[in-house]
Amino acid sequence: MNRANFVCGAIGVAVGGGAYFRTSDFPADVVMKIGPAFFPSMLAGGLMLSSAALMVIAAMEAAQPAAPDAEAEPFRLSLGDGRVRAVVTTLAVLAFTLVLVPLGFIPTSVIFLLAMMALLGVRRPLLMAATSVGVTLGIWLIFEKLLVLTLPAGILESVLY
Amino acid sequence: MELLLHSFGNVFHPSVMLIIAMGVAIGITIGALPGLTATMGVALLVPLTFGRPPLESLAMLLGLYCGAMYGGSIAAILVRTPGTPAAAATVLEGYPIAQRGEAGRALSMALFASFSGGLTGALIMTFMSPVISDVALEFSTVEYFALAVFGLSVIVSISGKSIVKGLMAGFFGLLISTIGADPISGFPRFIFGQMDLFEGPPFIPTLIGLFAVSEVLANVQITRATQRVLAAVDRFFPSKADLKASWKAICRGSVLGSFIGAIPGAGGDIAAFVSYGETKRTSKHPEKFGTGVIEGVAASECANNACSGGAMIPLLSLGVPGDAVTAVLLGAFVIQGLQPGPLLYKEHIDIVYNVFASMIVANFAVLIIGALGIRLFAKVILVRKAILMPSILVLSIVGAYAMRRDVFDVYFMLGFGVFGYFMQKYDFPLSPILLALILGPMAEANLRRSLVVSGGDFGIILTRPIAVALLVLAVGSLIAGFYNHRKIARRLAEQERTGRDVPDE
Amino acid sequence: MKRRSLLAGMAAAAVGCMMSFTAQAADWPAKPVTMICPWSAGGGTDLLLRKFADSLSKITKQTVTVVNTTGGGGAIGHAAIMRAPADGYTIGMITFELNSLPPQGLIPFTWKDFDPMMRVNVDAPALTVNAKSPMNGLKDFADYAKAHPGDVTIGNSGPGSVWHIAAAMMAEELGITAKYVPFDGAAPAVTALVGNHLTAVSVSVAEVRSQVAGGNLKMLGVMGEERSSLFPDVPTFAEQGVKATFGTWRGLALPKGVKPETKAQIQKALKAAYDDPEFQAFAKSAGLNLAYQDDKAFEKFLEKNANDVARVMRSLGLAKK
Repeated sequence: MNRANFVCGAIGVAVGGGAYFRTSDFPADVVMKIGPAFFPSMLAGGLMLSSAALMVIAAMEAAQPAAPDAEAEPFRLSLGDGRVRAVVTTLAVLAFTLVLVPLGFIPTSVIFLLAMMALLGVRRPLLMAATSVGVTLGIWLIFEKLLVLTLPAGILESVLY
Repeated sequence: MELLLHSFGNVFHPSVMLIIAMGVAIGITIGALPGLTATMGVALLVPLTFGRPPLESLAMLLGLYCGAMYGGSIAAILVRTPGTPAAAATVLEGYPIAQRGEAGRALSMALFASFSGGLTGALIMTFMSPVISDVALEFSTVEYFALAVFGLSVIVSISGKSIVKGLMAGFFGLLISTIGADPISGFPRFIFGQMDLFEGPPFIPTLIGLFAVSEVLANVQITRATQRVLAAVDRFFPSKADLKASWKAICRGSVLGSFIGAIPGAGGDIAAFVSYGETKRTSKHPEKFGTGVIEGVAASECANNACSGGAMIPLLSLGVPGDAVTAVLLGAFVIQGLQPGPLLYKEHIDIVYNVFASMIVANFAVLIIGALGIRLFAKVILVRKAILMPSILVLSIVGAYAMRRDVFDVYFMLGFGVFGYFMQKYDFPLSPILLALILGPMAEANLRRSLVVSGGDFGIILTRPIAVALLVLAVGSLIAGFYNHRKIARRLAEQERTGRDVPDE
Repeated sequence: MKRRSLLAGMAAAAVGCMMSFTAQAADWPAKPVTMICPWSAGGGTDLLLRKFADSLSKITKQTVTVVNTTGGGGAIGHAAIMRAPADGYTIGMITFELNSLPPQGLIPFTWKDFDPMMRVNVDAPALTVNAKSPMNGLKDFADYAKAHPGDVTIGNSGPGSVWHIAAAMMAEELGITAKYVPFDGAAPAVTALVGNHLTAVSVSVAEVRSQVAGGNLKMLGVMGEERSSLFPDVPTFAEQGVKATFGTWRGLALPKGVKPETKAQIQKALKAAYDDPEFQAFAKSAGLNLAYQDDKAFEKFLEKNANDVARVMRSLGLAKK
């Protein structure tokens, strides 16, 4: 049995089932036979069917040897571990989004770029400072000046305008 | 005729050419930046054209339109992020080619195909507008429904190794495309109290999340500070062998793209996927698709650029925009006091000719500026990944945010980034979701509109010959896709057994 | 080091706020003004507001930035205007949807939660049919509808949209029944009518303008208070014995709580921007019907409009019970 595919299929069935359940309290259309629930419930059915098919196929398949790098490497909670870096990256984007409006685009972006470069192993302070400021200002100029789309100014409000 | 030449002469004036070139350069930049679409670029520059002469303003905007259509392929090839939705199909083959260190090869083919497609579209527009716009008007809601179904049948072609997983992705995409206000009754579906979802799942953030963010998440895991992709950027014109492999795809894509563009409401994204699907279906070696096949790049890029010319046809001759960009361009005409449509042909035929000429010039400008830029663009992947990846993230965040100035969209993007990462990890194809998000609402809304008109009778579909033909084509393409898929599976199995490439039949 | 510069920045921002606070009493505008547009860039509302902002900037000699805060069918932008700081430096463009969203239970506030400053524009819908149709007036249309029950389809720009409500009002006044076909915006509905796939559309004069001028469509009647300046030979509904008037509107509003003296200054500047010949010329060329009302008249207008809209939406089954 291919466990990964079996689990994926199970998730698909669950999502489809959940969506199908929710469509049951969509209002019926009085005039037409098909109302707001028609398409979503049909699609949820399709998702459940194809997911179930995946589960069946996965159950019949021979067990896959686990991907060597995933199992062989013991999990270490350090930045040297790729998976930890991916989680930290996700959290960093989350943090970026949280402070974007109060802090403003320019400071947030500079700090984010510095932190990310440090995370990925860049160790030259001058290069880090130059790129993070350069990239930030470049993006800011394109959006703010060329496209006249305002990005949050945040704490720099009084300086920028 | 004299007037035609005179109008063309006006466009070939150095100052106008310069303006077109400027528009193209801005367009390429906007197109290459994820999150900034051609539509948005044109929309943001329209107010700047107020008070300027019509020729200049329109030339600039048309240049931008053509430039952005090409620009989308650059980010698609280099960083796996479609710069515009229309470049989503280019990712499928372009990125693997660049990863092999042949970025220059993919970029030059994308440029050449964009130019060929764009020029074909512009020429078809110049010579066949009246005929094509009559056909476009025949499309009622029933035909739109059938067209959407036909487009969805491409999912089988872009499913990758497992059709079941492709179908799962497709159904999931279709299901999330029903989030938001129901197109007919206005009832809010699946929004979980979030007003931000009322207008449906935000498309650009979804796109950026699925492709760009997921790729960054995969990349930060393997990145060492010094790691770079080697890139041979030694050409800006495709090689003879590549051209020979791609000319059929280019011809087919150009015609398909022009026609799909001419149908109001169907744009470059749909054209590119359909053209890609057709090229894969008719290819002698479909099993290689997905691993970096040059004609796949050619097929999608020429189709989406041909769309620009096609989309201008109904705009000029009927006053009906052919896609989202031309809908904004309609506004630009109106600001100039011009009303596209039959009246424009009667009263301002010079402007019509100016538009034809500008589109043709703009495509040449794309070729020249693009060729000059290729070296510069390809430098992007020479940048150390430790610098490139964080920069892509910042661009992604800003791109997702700027459209609506809504942090909700950034969270949404991040969510789909993580989701896309796991999908890829477990071998699920991403593009069916995208195709479903584009075509799902089109299929549902138009079917239900048809049923409103017919009073709930499905028989209305059978009364429309074009729709029936399209639905038959959709079924045919599905069957061919399944058959093809079995052939691919057999070939791959054979390859594994013999350990070498099976020669082409 | 980083923390210190952060603190310095925050201090600077605080001082900046205080300075603008003291300046506010003396003279408006002492700093750049932001205008919120609840609709996306490139649309009609956005173009109108951006042109207005240009004129306002010219008159006040201050930067005026337009910010598009969109989503939720206008709900998010209107909420952003309502919640903006009431210092007079954020002005919003409010639109018709502020009156059609509350009956659907989609927003928990109404126009009464804003300080309306002025009405800028009103666009009336027209009942438009294909040029090949034999109908020539509202009476013909009503007769046709009564002779062919269940056959009349009227296209509009979306469920619960202004033109959906307009179509329902038309049908109510003409005493007919029709099927309302919602499209994704006015343009596809107009296209479908040109292709003869619908009986009529109920969208604004500006939206059918080019097709009418090009001889593909014809208008049977305009639902405005007076005839459209673009097509002065098309009679209004009232002239044809149907007394309903209706239209979409756009206006400017402040969040509640701006000081009266600041408000007076803003009012003056806005009126001057409205009268700017450049803005007037733009509106004319874009086919937008300018219809100024001062704050008092605008409030009265909003009151009546809100009631009309809520009533029709209830009869359409679009209002939340």
